[in-house]
Amino acid sequence: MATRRQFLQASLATASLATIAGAGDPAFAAKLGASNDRLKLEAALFEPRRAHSAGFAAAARRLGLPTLDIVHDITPVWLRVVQLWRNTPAAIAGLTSRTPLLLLEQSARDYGLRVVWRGEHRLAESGMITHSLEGPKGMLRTFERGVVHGADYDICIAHALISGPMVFGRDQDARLETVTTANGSTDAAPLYSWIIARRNHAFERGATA
Amino acid sequence: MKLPPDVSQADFDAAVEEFRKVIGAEWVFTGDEDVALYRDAYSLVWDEEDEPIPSGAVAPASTEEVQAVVRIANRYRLPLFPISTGKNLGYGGSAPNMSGTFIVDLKRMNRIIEVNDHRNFCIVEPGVSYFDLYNHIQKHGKRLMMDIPDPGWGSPLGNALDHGVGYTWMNYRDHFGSHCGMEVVLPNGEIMRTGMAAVPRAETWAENKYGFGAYVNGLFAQANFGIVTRMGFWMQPAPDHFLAAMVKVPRYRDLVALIDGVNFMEDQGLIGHPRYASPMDPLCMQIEPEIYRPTSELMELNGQPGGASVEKYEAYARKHGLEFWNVLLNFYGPKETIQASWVYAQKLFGGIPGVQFEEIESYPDPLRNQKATSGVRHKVALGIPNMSIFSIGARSAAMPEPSDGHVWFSPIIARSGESFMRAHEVFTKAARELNITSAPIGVTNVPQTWQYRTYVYLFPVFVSRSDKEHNRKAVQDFRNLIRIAADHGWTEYRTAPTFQNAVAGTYSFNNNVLLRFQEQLKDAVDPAGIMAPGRGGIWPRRYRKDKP
Repeated sequence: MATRRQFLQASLATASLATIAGAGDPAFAAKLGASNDRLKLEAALFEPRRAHSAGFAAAARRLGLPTLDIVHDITPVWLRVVQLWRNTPAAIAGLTSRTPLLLLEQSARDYGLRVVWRGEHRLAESGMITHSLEGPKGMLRTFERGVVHGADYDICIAHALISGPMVFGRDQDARLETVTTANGSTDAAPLYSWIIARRNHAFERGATA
Repeated sequence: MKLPPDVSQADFDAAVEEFRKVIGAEWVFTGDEDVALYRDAYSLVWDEEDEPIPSGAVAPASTEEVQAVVRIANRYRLPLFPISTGKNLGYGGSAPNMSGTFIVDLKRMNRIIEVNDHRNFCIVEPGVSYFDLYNHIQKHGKRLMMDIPDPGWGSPLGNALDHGVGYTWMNYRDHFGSHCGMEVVLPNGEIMRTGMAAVPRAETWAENKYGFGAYVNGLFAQANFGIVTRMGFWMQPAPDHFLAAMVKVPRYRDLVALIDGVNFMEDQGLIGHPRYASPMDPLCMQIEPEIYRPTSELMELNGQPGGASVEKYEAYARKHGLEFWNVLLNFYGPKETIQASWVYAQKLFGGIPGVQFEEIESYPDPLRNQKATSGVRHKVALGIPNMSIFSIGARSAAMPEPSDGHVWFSPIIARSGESFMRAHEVFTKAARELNITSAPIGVTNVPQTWQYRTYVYLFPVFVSRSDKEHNRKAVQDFRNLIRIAADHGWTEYRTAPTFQNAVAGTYSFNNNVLLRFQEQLKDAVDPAGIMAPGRGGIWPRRYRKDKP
């Protein structure tokens, strides 16, 4: 899979990290290069007990996307998403721990849906957060611009996933490895950003009915 | 992409081309992105040289299409690995035993053939999930209760074929044991039906298991003698009433009397699944974090390999006013009857010093009672599918560092307190000596009672995606535990492909004649060795010499 993809390397560790007030405003979105050329997402999933996940959800709501919270038992959210997929190949996004992503990815394949953006966000021993991202180039650039401007990574992820230009196709995929400051976060467990959306595949809507 | 051993690229390509012609190009998957989804997401050998990775997948929609796939595979000697819904996480997921094996994904075969709530059975295809069957029962107002495993996204047929287990009433918990009649595509592409399903015009496919003659159904579970395309199951009527009540005992050794009493009740048919717990057990805390809460003192006791001593846990329990063990008794039936059984239980256990009784929940008509279906403490106790088991390994107070998955270690232990405490001794000693930190092993581990007449001593061995050394040690620990358990007459009822050869090897009476007999059958029934090579530790002649 990776061999077919282009790889971008970027090092943003030295970037300016001044916080941008009002992240989520249209002005901020404009700075990040928000685009109309994007997939319509139906919902953003998050875990309220994880600070960055909650930050992502707050930014998603400011951008007008409904959010679904996973508290302990994923069953209600999983059922809701799968029910949605039974009717339509809806695209969803999230910043969650690994298990929700795993369960939704495994279920998504039955409905012709794939993970089209995948990011791992892990607190390193250096105290920085490492980001390993794979997805459409335009969205990666949106994230990159956001962290250069010093916004928290969860906000940048929300903007990249929700507002970033999303041109699909394997030739459009790229990878970005970067680090940001933890801004006081001590949450050692990694989080995963993701979009599950339709990519040409046979397990499509109605095909398994 | 890894080709299967002993298959040329030209033959592989020709087989794939024929699959495309017969099944449709859109149902044949050979792209890396598609095939990756059939890897075992909980594999301890993820990205290692010996991780079994399939070469592709094909998704037939009917028994006739399965026959066509098998015939093509025979022609090109392409090994196949059938999956139902492919959700066997913890025991191998949808991955095969051998790299290059081609997955036969049966989820498009998702028809519910019949559900009968007068004679209490169902007949289903492999792609039907527990959620599907539950929804069908609810939608059509059938007065039936399912028996389901954790979690509910799997397939009744697939679960039964891996000897999966559940949570309600005696024999129904044994999902293979409660199946009745099957349709199988044999390795030569012929369709066979078993039991009364073999009798044209018989109405009793899912009611009489044996019919006449040899009972061969066992050859199709945890084995590789065919692809099962339909199965019947006995089902139980929805109960009039459900009562869950708890017995709590204060000391470690009270487990003996507790188990004796529970066995006595269950073997008389007075209770369903007895659910043991200890408020100090790490797995119990992960499964029910809202009920069993850790303290830093308890985390310290649990933090060392093998946990702490019995005396330290007893002292902790006394200090915090906790029981050492409890067991939740599930009663199903007429309210009057089950109330009488609960009174009887209190009399039976009343002689244990310090015993406490607590009625947890009581619901009339529980499967049509919204309060019950949404509020019951364990949805599995009412056969309501859910995904809550995925809280295991997730981040919680009892698991500050979440895992990336787990494989289950699950040896069969005799159903007595003495035997289980002997297993505590052996496994905690092993955990200390081997410095096992990847699994919560301790004297608070509880008997798992899904199998009606034996226990499973269950613990998860946690997987990491970022620490290969952790996984390599965990694999070695797992292999050592298999050997140590077998030295005491205990061995797994079910295991992931990585460990299937080792587990099959522990059934070693008379120079492993059981396995040798299965190999003889394998060579006769599947001479080309195409059907799930290695499943259940059974390898065809073609791959036996070089089995991984």
